Amino acid sequence: MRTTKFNTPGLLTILILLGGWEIMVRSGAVKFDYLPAPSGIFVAWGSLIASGEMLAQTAHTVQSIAIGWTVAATIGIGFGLLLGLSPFARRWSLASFELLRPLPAIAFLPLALLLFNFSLTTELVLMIYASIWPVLINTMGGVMSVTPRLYDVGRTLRLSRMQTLIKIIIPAAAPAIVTGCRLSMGLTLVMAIIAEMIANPHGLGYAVISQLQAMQPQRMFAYVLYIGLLSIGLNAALLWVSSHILRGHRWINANET
Amino acid sequence: MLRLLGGLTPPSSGDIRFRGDPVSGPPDGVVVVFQDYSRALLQWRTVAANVALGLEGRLDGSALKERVERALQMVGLERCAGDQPWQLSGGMQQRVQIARALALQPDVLMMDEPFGALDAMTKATLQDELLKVHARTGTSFVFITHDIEEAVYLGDRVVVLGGSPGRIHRTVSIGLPRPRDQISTRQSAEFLQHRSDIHAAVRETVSDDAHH
Repeated sequence: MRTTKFNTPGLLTILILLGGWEIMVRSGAVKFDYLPAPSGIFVAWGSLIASGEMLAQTAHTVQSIAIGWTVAATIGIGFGLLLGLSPFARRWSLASFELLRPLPAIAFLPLALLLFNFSLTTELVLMIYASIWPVLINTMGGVMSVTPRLYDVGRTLRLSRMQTLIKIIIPAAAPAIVTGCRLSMGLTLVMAIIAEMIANPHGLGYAVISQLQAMQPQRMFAYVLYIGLLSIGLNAALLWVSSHILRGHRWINANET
Repeated sequence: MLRLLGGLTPPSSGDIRFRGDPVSGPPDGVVVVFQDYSRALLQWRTVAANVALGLEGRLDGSALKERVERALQMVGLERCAGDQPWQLSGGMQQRVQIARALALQPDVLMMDEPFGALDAMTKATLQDELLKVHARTGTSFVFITHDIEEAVYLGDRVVVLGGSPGRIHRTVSIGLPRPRDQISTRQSAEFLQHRSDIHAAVRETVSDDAHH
């Protein structure tokens, strides 16, 4: 397993860059009307946390991500298993999926708005639509690449179809399924922010937009950086969970090295 | 051939019977052991969990644990119960697969060139392990091999297949005494006689093919 060591030079570079930015803005070397200095951003950030605004908005966005991602993963895994296992299902429906998949979810935003209004539903519909695909495609591919030998094993040990699916096929496809779920987590976050900016006036996406309208660049920057940190945090949490789910699959890494 | 006997592939014509009942899927009491052990094992499960695979749902708790332990003992792997298959050598992985089959206490074990991918030393060791298991459990073995010496050393009866589609070319009964020994058995006059007989039979199938 990879050992995580604190990356001092990497952190130092970030601090130097921030310092450079601070100096450039203060000395007037770069001059934009709305480019704040990092110190101003951090002060604004502090006040947003202190007032409790940021926490409430985070709660909204994280909640929609949790719902959207869970629903997308469930649908994606369900259809992915079906398509991976059944040539019949593939023959009849893969063409439809391939037609829907390349449509950018964002293009549906006005349509979703028309159907579901400015609401959480609109936000969730967009998130789910965008993030089903990585799960579905990876699950299907994972199931299809399970070696036929493992089906023989299930049969000769006289496991039922359900037992073979649960004990053999799904665990064998687990690394691909988990990869799909991680990819779709990134997409859910992006779509949540976009939907909140345009279609559902709540959460962190809406916060960025309202600070734009209030001409508060310090606060805007604070939100943007915060969303970045949130994304890193979600990804790290997911990585941790998936390394636990896949602890039996370390052999893949062991064989690579 | 072994896929047919193991009930994994239905015959294109005729039928296969096990104790008088036609075989339409893997029969109760018949388990197949495959040549490609690394693909046939669930690499994400521990050795013990692999052996338990066929028993989960039929046994649980201490009964399951005991049966798994006994199967692992039979192939000399009781110390590796907690390891993952990929941490083991090829010979040991194949033992895991044999233990998984034995854990079901089958009447017949079908083995498809099980030692074909192993080196000569490991192969000899596993042959002897197999003979011990045979002596202890009375399980019948159907053992497919291209190694004539292996066939004579292990078998009671050697069936030479030939031609395409495959047919039974000759059946030879092996009367070598048991327990057998890698050195003395292989040097006995009877062993050498069987070996050359079967060699000749195999050569006939090859020349038959050439005539067709």
